[in-house]
Amino acid sequence: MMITVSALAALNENRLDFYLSIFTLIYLVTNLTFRPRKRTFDFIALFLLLIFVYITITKILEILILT
Amino acid sequence: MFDRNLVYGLSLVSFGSILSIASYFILENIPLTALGIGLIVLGSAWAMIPPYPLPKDTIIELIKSSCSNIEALLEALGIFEKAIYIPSKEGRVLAYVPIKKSGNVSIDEISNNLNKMIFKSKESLGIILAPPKAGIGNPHPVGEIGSDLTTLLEHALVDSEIASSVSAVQSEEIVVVEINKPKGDVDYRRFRIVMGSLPSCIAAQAVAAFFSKPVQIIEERKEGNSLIVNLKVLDWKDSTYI
Repeated sequence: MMITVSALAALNENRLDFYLSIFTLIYLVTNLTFRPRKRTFDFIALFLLLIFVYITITKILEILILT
Repeated sequence: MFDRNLVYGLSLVSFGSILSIASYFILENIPLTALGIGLIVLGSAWAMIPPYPLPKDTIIELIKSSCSNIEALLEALGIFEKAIYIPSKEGRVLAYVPIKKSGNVSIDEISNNLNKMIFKSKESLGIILAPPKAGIGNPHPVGEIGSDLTTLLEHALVDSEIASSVSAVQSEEIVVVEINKPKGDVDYRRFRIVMGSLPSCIAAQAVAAFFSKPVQIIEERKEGNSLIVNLKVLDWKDSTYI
């Protein structure tokens, strides 16, 4: 995640939703690959997924409204 | 006891929250805000790690080594009878293995003597064993999660890395458990005859803990990548098996 932020900042990326989408992808892929033990239900994955869905829906609506 | 993961994780979450809020509202800097959010995610993930996580291979090796001791004991005694999994008052599930059956002793009588290793009453003789514990490495040991049987079986088998997934169906006194992609089984012949395969043994413990009744493995068979286990929930007054 730190490398992602550094790389995107170097590319002058200023869209927060883009950072959050990348974080969501990184978290889910890392979780599936390493399957670390957790003491509770994975709230972080659910939260990030909901944010990702929200971002996707707003982007789709923006495109639909523009067209 | 000091839970390092929780403390450090929450510290990182706090720092990340302050950084993201300050960066967004005061500095109006998006990359720093994203960095703060990233720290919140990392800190939350860190805080969710249980205090003493064991490597998966270690868990399976620990469980297998406990099976080897049981195998040695069963071989020394020449036992071939099927075990009865009996839940104790303290919550632990123990296995009663009959050496000599008389049919005059109920399971209830054995449950009052679960603190002993050898049970002898009238003509009946048997040993009481501690089967491989499903709770090793599992932050919620069998018996603590009681919402429904499938959830308990998932905690016992899936969280312990013994199987990929599990489902259960109950029909009167028979519970059929389907264990998908079981892993970490043992090759001890007598253990498998008496206690069942390792996944079946753990499933029987979970079912006994859920119903708070004695359970016996009736049959187990492989179907492709799944193991189908038929368990019978017994009555405390039953004396047929002792």
